[in-house]
Amino acid sequence: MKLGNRLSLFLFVALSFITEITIAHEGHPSNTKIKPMMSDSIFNLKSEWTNQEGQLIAIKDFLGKPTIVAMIYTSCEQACPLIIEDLRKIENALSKKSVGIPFLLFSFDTIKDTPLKLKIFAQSRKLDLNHWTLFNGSKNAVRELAAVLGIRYKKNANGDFDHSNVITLIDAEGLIVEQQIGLNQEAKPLVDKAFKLLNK
Amino acid sequence: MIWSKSFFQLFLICAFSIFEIAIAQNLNIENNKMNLIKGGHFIAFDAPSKKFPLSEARDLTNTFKVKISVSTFHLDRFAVTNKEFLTFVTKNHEWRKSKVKRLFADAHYLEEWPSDLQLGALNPDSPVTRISWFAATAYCRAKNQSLPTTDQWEFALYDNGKNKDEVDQKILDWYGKPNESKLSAIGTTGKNYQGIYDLGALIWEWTEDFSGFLSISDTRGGGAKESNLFCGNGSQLGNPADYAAFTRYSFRASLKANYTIASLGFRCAKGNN
Repeated sequence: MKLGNRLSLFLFVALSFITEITIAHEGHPSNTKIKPMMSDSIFNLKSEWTNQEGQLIAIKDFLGKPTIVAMIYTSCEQACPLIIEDLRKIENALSKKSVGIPFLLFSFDTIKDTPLKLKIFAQSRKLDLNHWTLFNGSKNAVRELAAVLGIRYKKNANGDFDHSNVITLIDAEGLIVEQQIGLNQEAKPLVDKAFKLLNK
Repeated sequence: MIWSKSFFQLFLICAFSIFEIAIAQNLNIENNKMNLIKGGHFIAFDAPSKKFPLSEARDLTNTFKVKISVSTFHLDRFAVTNKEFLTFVTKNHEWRKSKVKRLFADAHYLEEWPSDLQLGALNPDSPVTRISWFAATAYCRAKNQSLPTTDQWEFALYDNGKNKDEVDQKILDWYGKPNESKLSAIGTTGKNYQGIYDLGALIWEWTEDFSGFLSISDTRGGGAKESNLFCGNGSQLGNPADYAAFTRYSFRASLKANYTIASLGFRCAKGNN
């Protein structure tokens, strides 16, 4: 009986070692297909996100085109609608110059902001999903993106998020070109820079 | 025949016992690396209210005392050392100083290392510093751990309120001391009642949410929750412990995730939700 126990323990341990080795092996970076990417490009982030259609998307998929990025959460009653208005101001200003640019909204709320919830939010706010994409990601993905954008946030005990309001213009290589910090700001500096980027 | 069978059994038992001892020792080492910090709560220093994100908080009279609850978690007893970080970058090429992306670490990353895999004049047993938040996060993740949250770190430092004056004095002494050109080895500044070494007395440490707002309760809409917020009083504002804490929170708020600083290191935690 005891021997049986020991044997099963041995097998268990041996097995877990084997599994560990396999996992460790898989875990090694084997991606030698190095794309020439700027060292401080946001597209160096490896995190993956799910868009409002439920499709898995990596940030670096936007490599090659300038984008406007913001972080929100949809159950937010106060600041988020305002940041959407600020984004819309930018969108309108750019469309007057007949320039389109993707607007990427990343949610702080990894749990509540499911792709479906994001889609409903986009529809209720009449966001044109040809230009706007909303993303849900893991806690780590959110933390990392906020870190590179310099966005401060904290989840409250009641499930709300305190967060700084930052709208970021990113160029085709993933470098931060301009940031509009705080709500209800003058959109002109960011719009001008976006216009310049798109007409390069 | 019977003899040989029982001999074989004996052999197996011996072999497995040795194996078991080896496992037990291994577990022991793992257990020893981290200590359990039993959950509880503490009063953080005067937190800026909603309208005052820390970076803008100037008027300390316009703040609240915040009661913070922390669930049970595990915390490294020691800060991660140069030697340990060397092992990490040996395995993880992308975190070598010649390979790391500027997005993830500034140009001073591991500045004192003469090359990718050399510590040079650094003490292998001193805390690794000049590492970014991204690098520290990657190190802990590789161990299936994470950086402690600011609340967890502060709670560990609070040490259930034991020897508070002594702890505060030690921290203030350290803040007042000029940076040494060479960091001492881990363990040299002693441990607290929870068996955690060098907290707040050897290096600054990264936390997972270093850039987070301090306030924990949303005061918009529903109004302030009495249980979480109450007004600070004047006498506490004059408390040197608050000054020490204010220094820590301000320091954290001044950081960016790819910054690397000679006096800033880290330790890992487990059980962070």
